[in-house]
Amino acid sequence: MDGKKKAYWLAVGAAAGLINGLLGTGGGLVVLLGVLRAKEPQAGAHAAATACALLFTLLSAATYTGAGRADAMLLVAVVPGMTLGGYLGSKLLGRLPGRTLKLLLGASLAASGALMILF
Amino acid sequence: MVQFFLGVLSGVAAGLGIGGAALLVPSLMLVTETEQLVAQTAGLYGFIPAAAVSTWVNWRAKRLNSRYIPYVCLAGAVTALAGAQLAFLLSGVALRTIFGLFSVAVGAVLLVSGIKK
Repeated sequence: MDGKKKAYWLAVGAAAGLINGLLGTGGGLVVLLGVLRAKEPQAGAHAAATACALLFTLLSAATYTGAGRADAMLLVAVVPGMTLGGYLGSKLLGRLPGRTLKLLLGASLAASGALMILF
Repeated sequence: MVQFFLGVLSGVAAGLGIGGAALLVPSLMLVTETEQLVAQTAGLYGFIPAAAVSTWVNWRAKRLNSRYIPYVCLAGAVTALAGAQLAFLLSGVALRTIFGLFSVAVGAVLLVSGIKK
């Protein structure tokens, strides 16, 4: 790998880590976009994005917890819920048409983001 | 109980390929009036179990051998710590606005991509 490529991947990692630490989400998405932009094989792109995001998330979660931002009661409710939902979502994945999925999730994200800015 | 169901809904979105915390954080803030950094911590922890299992499966299947991964992880590990510290320094309004803009941008990309298809 030449120096230019190394710099590109370091920049992708830096952007992904920063977003993940700042917002608590989004690191995997940034890695995924970086991998696809570099025209790397798509087969490993999701695996790489998830693995990198897991590392950023572990570090961010430790930092947030160290700063007293973890609410144990909330975690007891949310973590099992998200794990169960993740399983159900992965089962749904092959059944919903890709276009419907994009429109549904896109509208949900845009609406929730707009609500956060406005209220 | 409300938090559990918000977790399930966000988890479904995560299972469908969109970061669940992107929906969990605003829904916890808007429905249960949870402070943003506390909601973000919940989103971080909520991501870990499924991502850990997925990464373990991908590791066993030798799908994690791309040469760029160490560079991405090394740089990201440093900036993830810096980003978390930055989150504590920013005002609530600023952090909320950045989160909202990020969600709107990702949502718009998905909508445009879905409409074009």
